[in-house]
Amino acid sequence: MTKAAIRVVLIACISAAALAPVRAQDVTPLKIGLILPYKGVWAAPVENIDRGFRVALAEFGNKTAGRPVEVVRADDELTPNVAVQKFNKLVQFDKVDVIGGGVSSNVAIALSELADRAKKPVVMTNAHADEITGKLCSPYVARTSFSANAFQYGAGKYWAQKGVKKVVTMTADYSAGHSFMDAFKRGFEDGGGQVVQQIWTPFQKTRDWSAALGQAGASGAEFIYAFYSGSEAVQVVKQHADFGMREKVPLIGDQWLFDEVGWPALGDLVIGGKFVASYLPGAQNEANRKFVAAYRQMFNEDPDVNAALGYDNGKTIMLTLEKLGGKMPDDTAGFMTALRTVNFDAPRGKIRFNAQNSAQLEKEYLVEIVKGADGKPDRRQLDEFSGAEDLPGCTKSF
Amino acid sequence: MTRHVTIEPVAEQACDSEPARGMDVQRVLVLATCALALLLLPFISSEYVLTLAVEVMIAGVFASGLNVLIGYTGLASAGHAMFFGLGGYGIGIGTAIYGWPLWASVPVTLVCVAAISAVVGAICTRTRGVEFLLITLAFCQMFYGAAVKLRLTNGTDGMAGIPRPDLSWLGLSADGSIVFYGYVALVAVAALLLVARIVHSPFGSVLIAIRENERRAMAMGYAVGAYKIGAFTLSGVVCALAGILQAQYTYFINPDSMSWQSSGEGILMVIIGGADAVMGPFIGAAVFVLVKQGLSLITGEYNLFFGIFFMLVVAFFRGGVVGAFRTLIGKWR
Amino acid sequence: MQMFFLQFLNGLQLSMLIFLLAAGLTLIFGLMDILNLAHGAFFTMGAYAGWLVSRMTGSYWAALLIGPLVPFALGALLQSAVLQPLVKRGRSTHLDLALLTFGLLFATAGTVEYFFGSSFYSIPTPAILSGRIAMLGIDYPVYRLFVIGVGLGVALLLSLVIDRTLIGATLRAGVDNREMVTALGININVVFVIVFGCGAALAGFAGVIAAPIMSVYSQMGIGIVVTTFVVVVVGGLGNLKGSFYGALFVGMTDTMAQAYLPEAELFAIYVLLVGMMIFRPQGLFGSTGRVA
Repeated sequence: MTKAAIRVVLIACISAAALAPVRAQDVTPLKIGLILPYKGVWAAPVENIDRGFRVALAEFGNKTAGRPVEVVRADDELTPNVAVQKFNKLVQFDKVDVIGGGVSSNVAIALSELADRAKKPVVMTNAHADEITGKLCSPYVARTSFSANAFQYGAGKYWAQKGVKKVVTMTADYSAGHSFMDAFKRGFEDGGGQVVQQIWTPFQKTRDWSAALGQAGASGAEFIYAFYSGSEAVQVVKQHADFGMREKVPLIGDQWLFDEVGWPALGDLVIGGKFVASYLPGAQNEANRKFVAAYRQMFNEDPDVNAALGYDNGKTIMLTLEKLGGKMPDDTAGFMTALRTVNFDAPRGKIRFNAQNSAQLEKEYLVEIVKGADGKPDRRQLDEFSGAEDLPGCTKSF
Repeated sequence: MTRHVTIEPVAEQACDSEPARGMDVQRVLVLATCALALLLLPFISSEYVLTLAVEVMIAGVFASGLNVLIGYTGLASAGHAMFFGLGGYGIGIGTAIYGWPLWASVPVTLVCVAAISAVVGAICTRTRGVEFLLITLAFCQMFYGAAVKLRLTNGTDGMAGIPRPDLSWLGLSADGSIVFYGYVALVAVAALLLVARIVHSPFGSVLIAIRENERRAMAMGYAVGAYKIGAFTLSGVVCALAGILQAQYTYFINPDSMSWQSSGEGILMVIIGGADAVMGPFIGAAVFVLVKQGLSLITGEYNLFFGIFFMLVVAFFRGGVVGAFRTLIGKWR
Repeated sequence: MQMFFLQFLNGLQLSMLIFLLAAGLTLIFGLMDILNLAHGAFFTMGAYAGWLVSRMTGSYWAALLIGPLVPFALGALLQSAVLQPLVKRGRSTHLDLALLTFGLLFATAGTVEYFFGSSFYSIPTPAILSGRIAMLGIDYPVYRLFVIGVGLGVALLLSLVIDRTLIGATLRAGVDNREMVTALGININVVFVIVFGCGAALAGFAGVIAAPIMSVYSQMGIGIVVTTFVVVVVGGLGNLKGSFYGALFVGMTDTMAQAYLPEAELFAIYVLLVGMMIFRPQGLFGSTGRVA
């Protein structure tokens, strides 16, 4: 059997060599590492993030200042320990210049620590937990999406101002869940409402929400405000409907709870769902029209919010590299100094960065899912309001 | 392959406990070669190879801790990731929450883990075979569940910023790959020597006696229960040591370190290495880490790879690499 | 009170689902001493097969009938082509085979991911079982009541088969004394293959049953199988009656902890197990012989 084992290793090495094409160019490509959870419960949304990222790079002809750009992908398996291994591989083996990606906040927390130690710029796609650009901020870490507070404080305030008095929140028990729901609570209570109960379900471990839904139903709230994504979102929406709670205690959430990737699995259950979104594929602005056209051309379908987040990430990295003349400065913190000055019209609205490298959220939408003309679900915008500022908390100055 | 016909782990290798003279020379040669390779590696290899070597050594310490139980005592635990995780959490809690220096957190952690593993061991070692496998798994899940729910340590998110040793008094920084490599190598070699010393002591011989025939060992007047708990504790502490190194390597600890998949990886490494050789776990760890890295360049289907690799190793490879190697040498003679 | 009744039904529903899994696991262990750690893999296979059938035929009932055949076939194949030859070559039935099936559990999740990706699918609830019934002040989904009914039905059927039929008598004899069964001219290996297949089919059946509630995804079997282990240990390894009461214990503990003591969810059932190991190591109905 040792022979077989040796053979396996040999095959591995040979294939590895074959996979890494030798480039006989005098211009060395600039390498971007992209760490995303390609497999697991978030596989479907992540595929769209990757596509959005590709659209952004294609917009620049996959070149920056004449230098070809190469993307090295790594799967973090939604596990911080694995993300650490992949980070080391990207930095030490592939020798990437900058890293994009970073969806789950707990992976992002581990990556920020490493980025800070290794002085390697990491530009996060999602990673909404406030502390990533707050308590744990680093001159080597940026985020191109928005912080939990920016998104949910605004949402909470909006519902309170609409006259809703009592709400129960329900989400997964992890950093993004806490950041999101705490921000919602602050906004909702500042607006005069009351969060009667906060239910936390174990992240990625819960498959049956009946116990949690039972509690939420008995809490006396007017509706359940929830944040879930991927397969968890589908299960929550479905089981909520199974228990006949749609009329009594409706389920309202954000764009991930009613993520388009879950629509096929939910069928007609999505009709009537209301959610808060940071991006609308139908938004009428120049940047979005261009993005949607390019996305349709490459993938023959409309982009969703995940694609937009991937696009913003890719575009921010490319614009920063353009500013730097396609070269990584010797002091890699210079990358982030350049990134902070980037601002552009993104499909979701204007993107600019604050002093902690966190992108700001210009506006949010309230959306309802309706039956479209072709009988398929479609989005209808009900309202729009502005996002909040980030929470303070970063003690470093850079 | 025909030689693996015994029901309990390979009996012929029991000679490990009373090595013949010839074996001694061989062993010294092997160890010297390893030491030389460890010393030379930083000078001849890239940073990434050093990082892989660090991963191999950490996994090796973990596997050799587990091996005390699987290989020497004949008890297969599917829950030793709990001690691996507890090690990391121990120094995380000590340094971040209580603000203790690292040099105090490490011994306190090891003592606490020793106490916990003695209690857990006292309960688990009342069973054997598959019941032992299941109850250790259950304990592991219990600690895992507790870590997920505990807000003090940030639940699922875990704790970032686990410190590496402060070597500024030597003018060095453990953040550098070479320095950290040296640190891990020192600890790993020390752990290996400690384990080797203990299992080659009379204590180790009793463990082997228990593995071979528990009733006979009992009849010979040994307090079998106490020895089993002792082995369990030793193995827990060594695994915790590996967990401390892992947390320092990643600057991070979260409940995933305690998952039952990570226990399974430990078992796999022990089996690859051959359940009862001292160096085996390190070789198993090296094979596992390198094959995993190699395959990750080709395919992202980690579960598929892990599962099939595991099945093949269990079905055809029971004596492990060291066992297979010995058979080869045996044929030459 | 309404809240408690609701959670009681939730607990009962979870218990019955786990029982379907635990029954197969414990039968296999009781008869041939193999701890099939890959039991969750058959759960996954059944769910995926059911999903495919339901997508092709549009019928839930077809899925429920045909879905379990796939794990039956694969389970029988595993026993006859892999496990039995290894036993013949002198492998420890206990540890080696348990570890082998441990690998199989992950390999199955990986294979499913390879073919179906890691997205999640759903088998639609049949019209007759959708909707809710109002009772004692709560609305409860009919489908979940159906799950409870199926669990109880299977438990009754299994106990009848084992206590009252010739097949059952053979099985009981096989557990007690293998040589004697062989001496009676029964090919014990064929019995093993069939029982292994049936145990796997039961797990697959549970997978189809669970699909409309939990949705279908590649790692669905990995999480639930650990709970099943707890059940069979609490009930006493190899004891069918024990696994029924074990499932009730564990399902109720898990649900009630989620509802009333969320701090303890995720580990309440393990505390139960550890308590059991301290005070009654042989399990609820286990024989003392197994324990050292």
